Amino acid sequence: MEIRYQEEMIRTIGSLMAADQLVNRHVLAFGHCHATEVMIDHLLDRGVRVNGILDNNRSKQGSAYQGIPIVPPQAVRQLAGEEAIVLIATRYYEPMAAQLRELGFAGDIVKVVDYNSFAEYSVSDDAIRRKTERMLRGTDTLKAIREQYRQHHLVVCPHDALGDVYAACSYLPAYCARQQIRETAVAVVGHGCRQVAEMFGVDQVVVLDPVQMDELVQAIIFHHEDNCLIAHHDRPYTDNLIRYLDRHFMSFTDYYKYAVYGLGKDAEPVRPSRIAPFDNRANLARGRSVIIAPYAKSVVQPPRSFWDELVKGYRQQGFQVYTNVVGDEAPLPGTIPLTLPINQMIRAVEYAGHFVGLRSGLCDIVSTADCRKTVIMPDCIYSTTRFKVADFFALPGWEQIII
Amino acid sequence: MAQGLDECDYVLLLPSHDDQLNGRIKAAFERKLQGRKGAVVEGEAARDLLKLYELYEYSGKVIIGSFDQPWGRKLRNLLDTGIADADTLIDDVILGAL
Repeated sequence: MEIRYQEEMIRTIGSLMAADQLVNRHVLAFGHCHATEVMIDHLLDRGVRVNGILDNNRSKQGSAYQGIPIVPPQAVRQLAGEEAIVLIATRYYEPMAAQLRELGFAGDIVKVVDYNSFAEYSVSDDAIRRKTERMLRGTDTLKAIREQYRQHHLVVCPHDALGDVYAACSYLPAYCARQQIRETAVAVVGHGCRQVAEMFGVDQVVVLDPVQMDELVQAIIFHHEDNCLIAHHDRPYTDNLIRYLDRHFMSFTDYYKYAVYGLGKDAEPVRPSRIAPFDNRANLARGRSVIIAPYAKSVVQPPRSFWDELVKGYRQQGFQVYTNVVGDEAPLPGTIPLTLPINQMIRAVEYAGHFVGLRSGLCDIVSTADCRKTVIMPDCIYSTTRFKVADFFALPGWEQIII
Repeated sequence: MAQGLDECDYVLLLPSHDDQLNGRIKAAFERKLQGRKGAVVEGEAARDLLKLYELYEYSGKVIIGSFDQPWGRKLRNLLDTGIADADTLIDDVILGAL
């Protein structure tokens, strides 16, 4: 779960608690996913009892999270009285809310996080006007991009996620060769994603903020933009590729290879070609250091005790222990904070000798590094599918700890 | 026409000119409805509703019966690469919500 969404979730729950909206009520969550788990953990930390998790996925029904049963949405009739409240922390708020109303639930339904600017279940004049204005803003952005890159094949990476951009860029040369595309421009969200694209030798990179990107994507869809590809395994809403994963397994990287780019089995991803040397301003000990990356946007954070034990173990073996931090992220206790440009990461972990990362896009970035690599995989399912994160985001050749 | 969504559980739009494909999807849709109330919209009316859908997702009841539409849908890649056959894509992806 991205930090900004987590902060929004905490604000929403704080507002509900300040208004006594979660007191003496049946509290239900809808949709068992990572964000819901984070929300439940937060609610439990604040002393709020959660009575049930509603979920349409039959494979999850009957199990539990934190002792809270996962039940079919129809159970809302039994679990929810007049004082019930359903909290939704997934990007499927609109369909979930509609389903609850169809089931006859008349209580409060709260969108805890506003994930999805593409959906609004209304055909009112006002909704159409606002969405038209949004699309027109995206059209302006598209025009500005096309003024700069008239002939380029525009590859849009719509999500602010390093691993998604890594996967998209790693198969981009094979896609261009197959489609006989000579020039590409890549649009990304944020400068971290820009750096990832540049590692693959992409010179023409357009950097947008998340709102601009959503608007651009909508304009591209609406206008059927020619010479353009939205390169993502799960977005936008018009593509339903991810539904394949409801019943059939396909790994994250294979999604890009087969589903996003339509490449054959023989297609190979390229390795990053622009890797900067490690400047070692932090004076790491060569081969006797470990860089730990404990932060990830989209997977469950292990308990602090896990990291404490990990750090303790490395220190006892005489390693210098570093925490890779960005922005206001705190280093793990007993470690040295280390902030590096993304294009130095491969050489940095090779110099250190060992990298340990919670599964995130950073793991993709250092995946070609020649050193000892360990990935921490949370023991949970990916998004709304029935497949484990460890299987979907598998990193062949890595040591793996599932927690 | 979009206002009529409230009366159905699912609305299948068939915007393609491929009558054979439309027929396969329509048959699978009717088979999977299993007592739920569905409507099928074809031809120009389907394409009008599709155009609105390309402006924003205005309903969760709308199912677009196509491998390639709305713009940006890439299901045909799974077909062309041999990862999945048409029946699998129709049953498990296009009509996966049912």
